[in-house]
Amino acid sequence: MSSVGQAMGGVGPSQDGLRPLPREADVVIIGGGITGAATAHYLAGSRLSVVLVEESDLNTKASGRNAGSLHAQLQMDPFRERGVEWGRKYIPALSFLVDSIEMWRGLSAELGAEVEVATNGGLYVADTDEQVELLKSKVEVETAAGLAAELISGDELRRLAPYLSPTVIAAQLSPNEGKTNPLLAASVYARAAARAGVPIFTYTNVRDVRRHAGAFEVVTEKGNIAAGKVVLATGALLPQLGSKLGLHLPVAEEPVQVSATEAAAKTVPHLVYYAGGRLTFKQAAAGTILIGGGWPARTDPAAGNPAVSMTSLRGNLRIASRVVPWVLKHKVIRTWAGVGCSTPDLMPYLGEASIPGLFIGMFPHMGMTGGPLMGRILAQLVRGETVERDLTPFRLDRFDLDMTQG
Amino acid sequence: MTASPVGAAGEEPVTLYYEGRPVLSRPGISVAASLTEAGIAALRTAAEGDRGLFCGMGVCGECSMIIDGQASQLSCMVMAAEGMQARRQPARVPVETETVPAPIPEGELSPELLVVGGGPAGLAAAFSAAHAGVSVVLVDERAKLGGQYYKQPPSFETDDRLDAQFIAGHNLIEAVKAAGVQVLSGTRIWSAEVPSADGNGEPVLEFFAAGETKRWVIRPRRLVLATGAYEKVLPFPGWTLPGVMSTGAGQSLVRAYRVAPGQRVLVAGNGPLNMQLAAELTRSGAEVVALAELASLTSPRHALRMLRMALAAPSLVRDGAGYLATLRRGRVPRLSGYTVIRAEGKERVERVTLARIGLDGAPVAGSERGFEVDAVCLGFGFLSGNEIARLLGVEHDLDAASGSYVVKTRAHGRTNVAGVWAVGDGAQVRGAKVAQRMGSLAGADVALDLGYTPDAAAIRHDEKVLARHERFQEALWQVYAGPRVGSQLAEPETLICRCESVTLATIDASLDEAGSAGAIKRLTRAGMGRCQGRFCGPTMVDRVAQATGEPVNPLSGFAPQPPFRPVPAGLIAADDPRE
Repeated sequence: MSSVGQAMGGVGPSQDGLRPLPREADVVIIGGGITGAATAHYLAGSRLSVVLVEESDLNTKASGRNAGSLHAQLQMDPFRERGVEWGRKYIPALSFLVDSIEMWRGLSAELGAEVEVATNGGLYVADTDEQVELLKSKVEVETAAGLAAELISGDELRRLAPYLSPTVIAAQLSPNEGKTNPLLAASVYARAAARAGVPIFTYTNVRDVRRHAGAFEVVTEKGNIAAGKVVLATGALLPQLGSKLGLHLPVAEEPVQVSATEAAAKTVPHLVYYAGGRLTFKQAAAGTILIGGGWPARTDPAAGNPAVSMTSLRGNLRIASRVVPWVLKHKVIRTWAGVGCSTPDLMPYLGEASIPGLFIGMFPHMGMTGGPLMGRILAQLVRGETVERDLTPFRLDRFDLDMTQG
Repeated sequence: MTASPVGAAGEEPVTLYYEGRPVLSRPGISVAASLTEAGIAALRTAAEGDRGLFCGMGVCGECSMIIDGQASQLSCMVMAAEGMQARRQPARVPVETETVPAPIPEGELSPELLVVGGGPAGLAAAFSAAHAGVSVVLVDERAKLGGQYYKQPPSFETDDRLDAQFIAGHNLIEAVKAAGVQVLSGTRIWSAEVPSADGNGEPVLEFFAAGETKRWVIRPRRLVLATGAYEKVLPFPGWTLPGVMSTGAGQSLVRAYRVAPGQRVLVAGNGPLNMQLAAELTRSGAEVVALAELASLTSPRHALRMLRMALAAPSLVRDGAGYLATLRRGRVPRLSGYTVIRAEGKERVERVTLARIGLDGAPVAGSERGFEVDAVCLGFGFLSGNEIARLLGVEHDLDAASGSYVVKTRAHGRTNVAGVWAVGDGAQVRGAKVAQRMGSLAGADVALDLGYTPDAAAIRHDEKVLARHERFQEALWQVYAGPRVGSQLAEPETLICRCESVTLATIDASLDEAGSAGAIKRLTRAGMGRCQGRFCGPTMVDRVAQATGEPVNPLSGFAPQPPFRPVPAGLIAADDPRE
């Protein structure tokens, strides 16, 4: 293979002939999305031997197929449906995201490769009084918890974002928010980890994880690895491996889709949402305008993969045009569908399982934003270090009661 | 500015403007053809320089221009009009935030049959079905019916160089119109719902069609896909220079617009279309500096194959002999076993280097020959335009030799998806004659399926002729079998993805991490642009297969997703219930 690749510590299937899967490791990380790759990076350099295994290419599921939003505010749909009480309970997850965005800001420098982060703020725009009222109560919940958020008037909004429709009347400004390029970060983390000596094996499907004499046996199609500790960073696939270990970790797969236009002149610095319908709207560093917001994709009946839903595509663009009418003139080049995952309370799973040595991290819906901090904390937990954060709200056994109740 | 050697006389001129400068053209000529005629090759600006007309059939997006203030207009598909302002499009399209586009009303159509594509296959299918009584809507992306093979000249009535191909196309188009087929020209199917069945087991089909300013939801009872093919052009250093274009683009210029691609044209590639174009250019007065065929057409076994071809399709062999005679009369140098390995020039192509190609698909050192040119036309066969079929779940095989998908055929073009037929080059690349007969048979089969009584004698005749043309195609491609060339001609700095300007070196560097074309795409952006990976996809699939040792399979490329072609968001967005 290319010499460049080998110098950088190749991770792809083309490297497989060059190295066998190790028979044992101190830590096996399962999953090559942003969480797994970040965990590998933050574990690299410790004295532990670490291996990362991924069933296909790196960054192919939720991490590589989202729209690259860096979220740091309550999302309107659950806030409207679940109310203020839910919003207050969600605050620990929100401050987790804020701290993770702090890591995103320095990530390109930290990893020595561009991950295209910009944190110019998020704008949740409203065009009816009812929406403004909802935003007001949302801002109250967030500011009461010490998070940065403010309601700005239509005039201020148009000064700040002259590209918005004249019909918008107010917005919540969340200065911490921003965007990244979801195509890059997991790969950049993985390469940094590989350079620091973490072997990464793609196209290595894990069939089972067995508990075996105080240690683990990670059973893959390329052979077994005896592991002292295991990190599950498998996103939507968490319940499958979790249930083999007797864990009850409810995760709902919610495939969603995103559309991209042709590259356009630099116009939209912010992450834009709309209180009147599902929308995220932003401009990527490459100039393409990314339009998403959690519109459901369909499941392809033949392949079983997420595929683009026409109803969602048409609805998503209509909603976008209410806030940014000029986008209707721009050509959509691509629409893609990807896995998204959810938990019953929308809170992440993060911690050590009831089985000692087994660590799990999964941030529903906003795994991209949460990825860097998720990786850092998982690495701390694996190394047995103190974590300066209360992880109780994210504990893994919080739905066990539901199960025993039936 | 130079007068074209092929322009037809006697029409009212049209003046359009390029970067504010007047350009004289004629009615019925595309913007790109008008500019080509005026000696202008630069149509859009990419990161590293200007780009020109490339595919000439609305697939690649390289001819995207800002026309009358509207960005991303395909200048190969838009007709020149009086006073029209055309400007080169920058790498990033301008944004006009003041614009509030008007809502575009959505029409609904529910014909018994929808035919997609207005080439030989689609026209024949529409005709035979409509002739039997079926109500037919035909959607075609070109401004005028005929597809690539039967594309018509600007003015059929006044044109003094009509050949049999023009006349046959004209007659078929007239027959389709007379049979009452509803034609939507300048319209593309950009998406489809996944087929299902209603309570009675009848197929439920739904398609989304967009013109420039109109759109439709079409719910037919049956579907014939006749989407044709697009040309395969291999990457080599300089292939992105303005003036380097596909043979199909060159042929559209000559046949549909009566414009020469340049004054000194080199034609190269693999297959008989290149010979036809070289002959047509010669006949119209352009200088063809050379015709290079990749295959070595000197095998002694070819005589037998030629005889088989002559028996199967004497008229096509006569056409071929006629092209050869024209090339001989015009003293056009013909090189066998050669192809273009390099193009150079400042603002457009000025020189090309050809070399003999070895059995490994790589140039033979020392065999290079240089030519001064101002245009190059290249065609290395065709790839089926099959994204609609694949999205609908039509089963395909992969033809390893060509890298093209082939529909798993059933009798008369029926597919595994209920209610869906696929015919012509979009189903399997076998040329216009096979396409037309398959189309005719599929149209009759649809009629039968819907309870009509198609002409049984016509069906038997079509079947017989189809079999002959299939034999011809088989022998033809044995004659033209050349070394398999993929990305061997590209150098590290050669752009593989034209849209996103991604080099071979970048793609190769990603291979230490990526194990699929999709993963390369995410790492490098190759395949994320306007052509949606149609021109770089095969190279990426090829490189992955080489790097991993895994053979190419039908899932190696990109899965089709709507929109099948870039479509303005305004033509996609659902109607707003609030408006």
